[in-house]
Amino acid sequence: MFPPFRYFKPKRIEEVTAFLAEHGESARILAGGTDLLVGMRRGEFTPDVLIDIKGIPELQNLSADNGTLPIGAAVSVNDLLDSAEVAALFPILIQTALRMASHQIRNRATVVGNLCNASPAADMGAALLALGARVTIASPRSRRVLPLGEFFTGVKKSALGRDEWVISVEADTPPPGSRMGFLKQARVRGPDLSTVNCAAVLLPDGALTLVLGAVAETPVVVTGCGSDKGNGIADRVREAIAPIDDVRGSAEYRMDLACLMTRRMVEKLTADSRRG
Amino acid sequence: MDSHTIEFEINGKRASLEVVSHRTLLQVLREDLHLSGTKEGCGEGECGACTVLVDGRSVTACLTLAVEVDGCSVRTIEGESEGPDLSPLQEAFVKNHALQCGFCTPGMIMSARALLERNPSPTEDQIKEAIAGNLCRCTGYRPIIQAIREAAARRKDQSAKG
Amino acid sequence: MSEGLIGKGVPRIESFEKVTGTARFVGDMDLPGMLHGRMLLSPHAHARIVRIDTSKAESLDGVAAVLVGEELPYRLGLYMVDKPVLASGKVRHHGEVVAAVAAVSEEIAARAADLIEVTYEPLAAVFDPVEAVKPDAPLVHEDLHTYHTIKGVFFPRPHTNIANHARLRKGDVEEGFAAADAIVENEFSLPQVAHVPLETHRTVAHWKRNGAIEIWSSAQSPFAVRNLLSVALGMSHSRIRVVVPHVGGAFGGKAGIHLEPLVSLLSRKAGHRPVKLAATREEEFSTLPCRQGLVARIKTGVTKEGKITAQKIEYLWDAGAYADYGVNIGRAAGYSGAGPYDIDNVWIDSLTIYTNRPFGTAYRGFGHVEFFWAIERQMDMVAREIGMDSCDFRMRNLLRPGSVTITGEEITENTGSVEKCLEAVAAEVGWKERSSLGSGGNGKVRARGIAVLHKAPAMPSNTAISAILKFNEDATVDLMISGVDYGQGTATAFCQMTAEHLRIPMENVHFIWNKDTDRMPYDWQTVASRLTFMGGNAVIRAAEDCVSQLKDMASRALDVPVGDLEIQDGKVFVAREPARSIDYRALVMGYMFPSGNSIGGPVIGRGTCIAEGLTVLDPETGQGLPAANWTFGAHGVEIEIDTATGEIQVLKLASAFDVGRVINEALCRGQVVGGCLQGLGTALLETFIYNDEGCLINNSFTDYKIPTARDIPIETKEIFIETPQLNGPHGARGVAEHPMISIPSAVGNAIADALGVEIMELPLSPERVYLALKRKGNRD
Repeated sequence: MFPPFRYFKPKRIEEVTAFLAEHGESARILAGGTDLLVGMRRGEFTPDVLIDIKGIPELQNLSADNGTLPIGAAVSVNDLLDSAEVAALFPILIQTALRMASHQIRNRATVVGNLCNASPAADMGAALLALGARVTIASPRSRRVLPLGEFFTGVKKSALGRDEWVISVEADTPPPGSRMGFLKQARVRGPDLSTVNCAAVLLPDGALTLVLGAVAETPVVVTGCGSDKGNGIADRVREAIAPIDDVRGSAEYRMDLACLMTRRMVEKLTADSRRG
Repeated sequence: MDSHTIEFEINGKRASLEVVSHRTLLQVLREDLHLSGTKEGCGEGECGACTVLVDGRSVTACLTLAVEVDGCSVRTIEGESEGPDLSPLQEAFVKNHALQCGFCTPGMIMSARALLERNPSPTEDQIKEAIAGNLCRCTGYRPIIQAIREAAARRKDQSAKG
Repeated sequence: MSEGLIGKGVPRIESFEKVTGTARFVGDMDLPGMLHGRMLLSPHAHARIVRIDTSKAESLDGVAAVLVGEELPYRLGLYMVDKPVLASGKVRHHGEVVAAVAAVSEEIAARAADLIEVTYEPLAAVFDPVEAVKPDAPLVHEDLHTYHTIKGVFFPRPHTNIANHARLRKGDVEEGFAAADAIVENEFSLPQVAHVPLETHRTVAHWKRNGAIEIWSSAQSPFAVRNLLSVALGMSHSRIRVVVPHVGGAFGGKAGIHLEPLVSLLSRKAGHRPVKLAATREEEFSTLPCRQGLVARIKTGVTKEGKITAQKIEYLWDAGAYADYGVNIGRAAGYSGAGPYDIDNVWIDSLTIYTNRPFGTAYRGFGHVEFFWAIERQMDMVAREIGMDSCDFRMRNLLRPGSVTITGEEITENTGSVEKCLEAVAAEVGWKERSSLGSGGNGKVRARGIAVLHKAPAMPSNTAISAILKFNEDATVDLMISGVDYGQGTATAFCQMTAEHLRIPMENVHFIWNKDTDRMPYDWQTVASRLTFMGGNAVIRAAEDCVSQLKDMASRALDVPVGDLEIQDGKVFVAREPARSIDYRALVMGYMFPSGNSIGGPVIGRGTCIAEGLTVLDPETGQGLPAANWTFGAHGVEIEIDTATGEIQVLKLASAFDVGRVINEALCRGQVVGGCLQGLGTALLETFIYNDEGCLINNSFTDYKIPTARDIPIETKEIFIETPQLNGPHGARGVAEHPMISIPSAVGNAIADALGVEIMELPLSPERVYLALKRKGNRD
């Protein structure tokens, strides 16, 4: 049960931008609604206006072009799973999507929404950070492109200004021979939030980008080299993260999981590359 | 209060309805359309008791606004079979004792329906994955998984014959 | 056609309604003029209510009534009458209901509840039963000495937080310890957990202008709701009608009385309009009752040959803020709490203790899931201490014919066999061959564990049930019994028994589904795994009553002695001349001779069952007969532990129960498979989590996880032993609760057996297992 609000379903990006400019923080973007509506039910958000962006064709965009995959703001997690192109080029996104929420929720939840919710445990946040993705942000003034690493600024906080919104996230296709993976530790095997997640991309030249989620206020990016068997990088992870105790796990457990998952990830990626 | 006229298809029939923006699809199904087979178990999309199909895809009706289904086709448990007949999927649930209290059953069947439509021959793991968002506290899930397997096998048999 | 129905796995009779979504639950009801209720909950664990201002809520358009505790001088309770309808004077737990609203829509009711202003003055609170029994602990109930309870059965200690002290004394434990070669002492604990029926508590109530009350509720026990409401309001039973339609899961959490008084009183205040109240999921967690927490201290004396010489036990139950039902859980642990073992010297103190937490109630197993966590872990630890195989150790000490239970009851050949259950599961999981278990590799370790269990129905010694069979003109028969089937399958079992005893096809038995105190015969409560056992006896007696009426008329119609008549295929016939028969259809409304003279009359069968032979227990020693029957069981489990993360995968779970006689093989199996997974929930993941102020912080499915389809064991095996219960229907005993019991202990024992870490608390979550392994590594 939600408190009353007004509902708009614009057909063009510019209309959304104009609505946001007009209503400021009393308006929220409705994409999948799976975080927004839960938050509204719990009284965490009380918007006067919801702007449903699912009627805007461009925001459904999900086709790689010139080595870049744009994921429009209305693309659901299951849309991603259904894409042969994504499966071929970005197996990490498939692995991640499969560990996110239930099938029903994934039919609604969007990839961009998972980023905008800015949870430190966002699984897509970790995976897209590992891919070095960027978000495209629209506002009345202009569009700007921001590396995802600069997008997350705190727990449930992002770099979005009050009249800004994300219209897509883009990732470049990693060079041939790249390895990538996603690991998640949760309380149950069924749908659950991550106690800790770990996403990584290992480039053919040995450069490793590893991201750990739910271990600090924002997902943490650690870079290194795939050849150090994970030990050196596990030490750097230990220094880089700052987990806390919460309802899903203790700081101690998270710290140890993060190091373990780092080692397991590096083992997995380097084993893949030896095989591959 | 902000309201909209929506036109959609409900279990194969066209409907036109005036809905207030902040009402969920679950509320409108149960209260306005009197389709009370769809249940509310948590209101937060976590239990799956309110699972319905929108344009063939399963969603939790508690986290879907009614206004959002304008122009869509919605299917609920009431559309699964008619009169005294049961669908093969429902029959498989009965035969395999895949229900106890019955409260999760409509949502469970809708998740199974969506699965079989996108994947007519699911593996056991795929079945588990497909219903992992439908909580059941009674059955321990095993008979439900068995029912869905059997329904899939029957469909396969029939399409082979047909 | 009716031959051999007993034991058959026929599908449940209400399947059609449930798979089509047409089964009607309380939430699906709508009455003309119906209002919607909403509760305002306490944000504090313990606080004085200084002031409540309802004026803003009352002036909101569409609000019909606002209720606060001061207006309601009523107290409720099944065993300990300690619970107000709304908090009055003070709140005793986070989530307690402080005020309630009835309004024309859910939205207005919610808005009105938000407009009620409450001023609280926080009080010192107590959250731990160990702390709560200390002399200087804050008191949860200052007026405990004034509360009504059942004298001679429950023993509250006035001016303390002890709501009940149950004692069991058998033999002399000090002598037993003196005779022991080893003494093993341990403390175990487990947290509060939730029942999690998929349907939250829902009630529609209509307090009519003529003073009568009609209630539709998702309740386990319509007559218990009626009785407790009648007692609380001082109103005649005949003025209250309680109807229970389909119920979406209960597990003990809908036994006794819950939202019904509040919704009735809202209806009265709202100008006698019907009111519906549906608990939200959050309220289901923090406002409706949960399962009690437990701290268990056990001291066991044992000889080096493995004979237990003495066991001294202290159970400290965390009742939470109210113990209206909870005191009887502590009492059950008093007479059952040493496990199915033959021990000469036993001492149990079982204390039910108030704390400022959400309150506990019956939950599948009624205390046994909780204390068996301690008992069955302790048995493994004792066996390890004396270097004995824990299966052999159990076999040495289990109850068997000739043994005497801790309350003085002699076990006979017909009581059931826990030995057979243990043997079966040990063989099934390869207990003796576990040394050959390979490693799963990559830090994964395989482990096996076993545990046994028992439980008797926990119920007053005068518990009764009745059944009516009423024939229709076409010789179909209506079956009326007020035990509620919220998924167990009992209704189907009753139809099987009825058809079997009337010799008619099962489809000719019409089970009356809505339980209605105005129309249906009395039943005490649907609890305690007693319904198939006691209700089955009542149904069979009702069928026999029908048969005797049919034969009586047929004997006069055919002019043969009653003793010469038999029944089959819906006919009464002469045994030696089967061709001489009368169809039931010619008898069920009375028999008419060709002359037109008529005899007999409509056939209505009546059957009852009361818990015969039980006694009140001795207040000092707990000696007596508390158990109508014992269902014994055992679990064997094989798990794989990821030692790097602490995650556990259940590879195989084998469970055996001596059910006496299986009535419906498929539904019986369903109880076991479902109950075992609920047990795994308790074992592996479920727990209430509080912040320092005593607020439940995981009161949603986001953070209170129950097992999903991906969390089930890879393989399960259900084994039924059939040692007939002499006074059971076809020899049957109940098995609804038992599958859940001792699952946690079997898993905990497996971890200890394979990895040498003794985990004493639940749940065995990945984090707890991991940290236990890490600490052990640090110590070694």
